[in-house]
Amino acid sequence: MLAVNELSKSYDQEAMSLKDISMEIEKGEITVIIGPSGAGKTTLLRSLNQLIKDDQGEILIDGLDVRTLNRSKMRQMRRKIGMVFQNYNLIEPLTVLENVLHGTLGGKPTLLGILSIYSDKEQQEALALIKEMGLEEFAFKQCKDLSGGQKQRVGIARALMKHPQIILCDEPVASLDPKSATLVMDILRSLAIEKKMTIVVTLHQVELAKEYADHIIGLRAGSVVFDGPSSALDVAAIRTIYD
Amino acid sequence: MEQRAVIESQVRVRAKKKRRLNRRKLTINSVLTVLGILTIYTLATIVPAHFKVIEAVNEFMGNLKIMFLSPNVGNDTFSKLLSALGQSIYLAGLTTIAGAFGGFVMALLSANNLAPRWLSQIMKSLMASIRAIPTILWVLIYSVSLGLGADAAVIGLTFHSVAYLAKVFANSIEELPQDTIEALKVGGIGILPIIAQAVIPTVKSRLLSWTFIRFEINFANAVVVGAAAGAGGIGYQLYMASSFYFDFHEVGMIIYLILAFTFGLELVSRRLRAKFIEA
Repeated sequence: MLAVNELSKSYDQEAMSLKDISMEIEKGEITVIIGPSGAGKTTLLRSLNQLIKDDQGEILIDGLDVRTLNRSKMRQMRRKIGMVFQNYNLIEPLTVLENVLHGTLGGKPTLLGILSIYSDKEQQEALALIKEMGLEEFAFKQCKDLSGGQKQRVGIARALMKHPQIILCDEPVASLDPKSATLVMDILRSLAIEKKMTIVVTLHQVELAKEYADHIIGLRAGSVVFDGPSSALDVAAIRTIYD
Repeated sequence: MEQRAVIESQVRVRAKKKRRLNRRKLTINSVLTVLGILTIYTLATIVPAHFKVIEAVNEFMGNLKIMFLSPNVGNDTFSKLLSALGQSIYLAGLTTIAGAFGGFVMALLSANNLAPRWLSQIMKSLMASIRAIPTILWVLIYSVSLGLGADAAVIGLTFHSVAYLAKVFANSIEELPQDTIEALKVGGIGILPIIAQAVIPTVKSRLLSWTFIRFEINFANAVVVGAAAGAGGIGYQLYMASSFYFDFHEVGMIIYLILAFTFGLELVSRRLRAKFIEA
């Protein structure tokens, strides 16, 4: 589904850079990237949809190298990828429904997007997704009145409106309390199992990673130091990542 | 031994700092003293020989009494003064609305989370240099090509309003996190839908508040411009009453009218500022 070959990216400072990263991500699995802060988790995740341009290497999605795509191909590729952020990146004064509908804007003609004209089908779908996230009573409330966990579920619903095949989550639960964090991770798990979506998550909680991941990648100072199923992540492996 | 050396060096540094502070204090004090002496000397010598201070103050107080204690409409009718006030309000309103549209476009081009860096910097310095020249000067500059009158006033006031609103609008827009905009861009959303769907809903109330505040400024400008550039309105009436007819009763009436209107504006804009801008 998604393969990375010898990817490198350097910054002025050592932190957050990547060195010769290679990994494979399978369809329908939750892959969790863990590592100390500054290890390059976010850099790696954001290179996957080229939000950060890497220096060299190869990123293959369905066998296509995303680094060589032209603008329109890149836009097509990005439409297959949904993204979820630590700080949600919602438009706070708008309602939950409006924020979820923003997920459809990518494939819309500009004028319809400006005038926020959405078809009945899109609105039905957005409402169904909001219900699926357990937020139906908040559909017409402004996002700024929601709790962090609720905002993150709106963020997931917005990502799902694009019908993505891949969802990239950048520290999705870092700002949430443990209960909301579990709820959000449960939703991601059900997306992987029921909708066969490929999910890549960066986390800094090892326990959550072990509990939810099918596949764990441990980063340390920009290099992969662990790559295997979550059952293989033992104390020794954790030590090589964090100590 | 070593500790003692450290302490000694700290003491030395502190003494040095103190000396520097003393020197600064001395400089400031001596400059202030010299300026104070110059001011007193100039004030004492500026008054002409035949000028009688006490008489002049008395006369001034008398004029103030005529103005503020017995205002009336003088040569004009009350409705004429009201319509003149209305003209000034129109002038302020027109230039503010035009300025808001222009300012919004300029703000989009100069907000550093929307426009590329080079464009944002060019626009910001361009707007800053327009703002650096006072509104009234822009009106006079345009009156060179358009002649004194309403046209020059409208264009001059609008011009400065655009530059002013471009700055405050851009500041408001820049409070929208770059990350949020990036999040929408990654979804393949073009810049125009992002402006319509993300930027405007987020900053709408702040932009409206700033526009109102600019309306308040423009009303004051409209009064001045009415007198200085012959653009008509209440400022022109004030100019005629004070410098042409010497009718201080009417001057008083006009000032009360202006005061009443600006007082109302001030009340509203203070509330808007507290609610939307400083919140």
